[in-house]
Amino acid sequence: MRIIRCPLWMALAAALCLVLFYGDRTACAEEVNYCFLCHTNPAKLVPAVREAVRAEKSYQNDLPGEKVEAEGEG
Amino acid sequence: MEQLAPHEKVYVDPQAILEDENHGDITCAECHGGNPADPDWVTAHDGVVKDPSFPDPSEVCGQCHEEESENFGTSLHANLAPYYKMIGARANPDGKVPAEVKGHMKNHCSACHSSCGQCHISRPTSVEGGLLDGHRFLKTPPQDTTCTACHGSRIQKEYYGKNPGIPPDVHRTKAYFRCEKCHSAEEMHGDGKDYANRYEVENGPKCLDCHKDIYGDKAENAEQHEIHQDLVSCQVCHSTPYKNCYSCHVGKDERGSYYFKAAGHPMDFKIGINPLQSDKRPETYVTVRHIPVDQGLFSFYERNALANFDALPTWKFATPHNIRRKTPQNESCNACHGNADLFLLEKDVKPEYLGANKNVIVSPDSIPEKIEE
Repeated sequence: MRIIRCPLWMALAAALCLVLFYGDRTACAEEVNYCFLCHTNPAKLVPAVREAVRAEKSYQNDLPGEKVEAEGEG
Repeated sequence: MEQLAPHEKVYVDPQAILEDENHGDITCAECHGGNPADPDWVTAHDGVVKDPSFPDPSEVCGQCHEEESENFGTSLHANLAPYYKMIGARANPDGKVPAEVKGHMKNHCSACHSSCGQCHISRPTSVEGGLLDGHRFLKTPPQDTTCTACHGSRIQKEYYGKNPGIPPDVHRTKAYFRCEKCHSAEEMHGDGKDYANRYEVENGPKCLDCHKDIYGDKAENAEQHEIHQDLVSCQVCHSTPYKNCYSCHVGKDERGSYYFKAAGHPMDFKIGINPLQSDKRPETYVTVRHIPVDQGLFSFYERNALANFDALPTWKFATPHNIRRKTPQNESCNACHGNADLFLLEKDVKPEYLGANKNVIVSPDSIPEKIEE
């Protein structure tokens, strides 16, 4: 059987590549997507939306409002 | 239409995304922007675009739906071209007025547009928006929360029979047709051509698309159909009273909110002279509906903005969505012939609108005479 020998620097380079590329990929996959996490979870979404609505209302009280037409008249 | 609660409007059903093999791999931020890695929802929403498909869908929907995206700018739902063209034709042509009128329209009229997203993913913004089904991408927009959410006061009430005493459209009661049965995606999406109104759109619906043999010898009531062919539109015999709107005025209230107010919405049925007569629509007599335009429409902003008001009629070509096989005017020949009440006469037109409607008003001599039955 023929033994394939590879120099130490090649083995080290291969290991480094694995750490850099594979490790980075894992980190990406595990990165939390807060859009999805919040918008699919009513327990998180409802309080955030309430807060946003409150902020919007106080903003509207300070400034002239935008258009108020709502019903489709076509 | 009942409004959604604020959190319902933005709730995303995880299954809607995970099960969608076409759109499921697209991340939120790829279309909407923002920072998905930021746990603070306030700063995470910096730069978020609510509807990334408007005004230009090419960077999002257009990545796959190329043809629809290319034609988007010519879809009447997106560009509202008829509004701008019809008001533009009436505008005072002097100086800066046409541009200013366009600006007023942006305040009051252009909010009623639609987009890819505002039919296939959410309710239109003009009716307060909100995701249709947890952000599912719906190939066919749901009728009640998209189409008739906007086309409510006239089309929906006519088609569903919600106007007191007026029955619903036979296409709904007999065949339960939904909007898309007649109004194809191609019609909605535009075809790259610049149309002045929806009746010009080449792939718009025509009664003859389905009722192909109605003018043939073997058609039901063949004699009547043959006699009236190209003389009256189908709606003249088969439509029932419909809503007419009068005298819209726009303005800004003390809080700075833009508003519009119309003077009234009476039900009526009127046959006028066809203002869009062409090879495609050769009929002399058609149903006409009063639209809410008025000389003083923009008087809040400036006097005489619509100095060219008489350029177009205020009673316009109409195709009401309340078709019935049997109607009061087709009960017998003389239910229509000699029945002046059905026709748009000078006395039916407000004095200030007589000039605009001179070409659609029926002269008493032109009313078909009673015939011996």
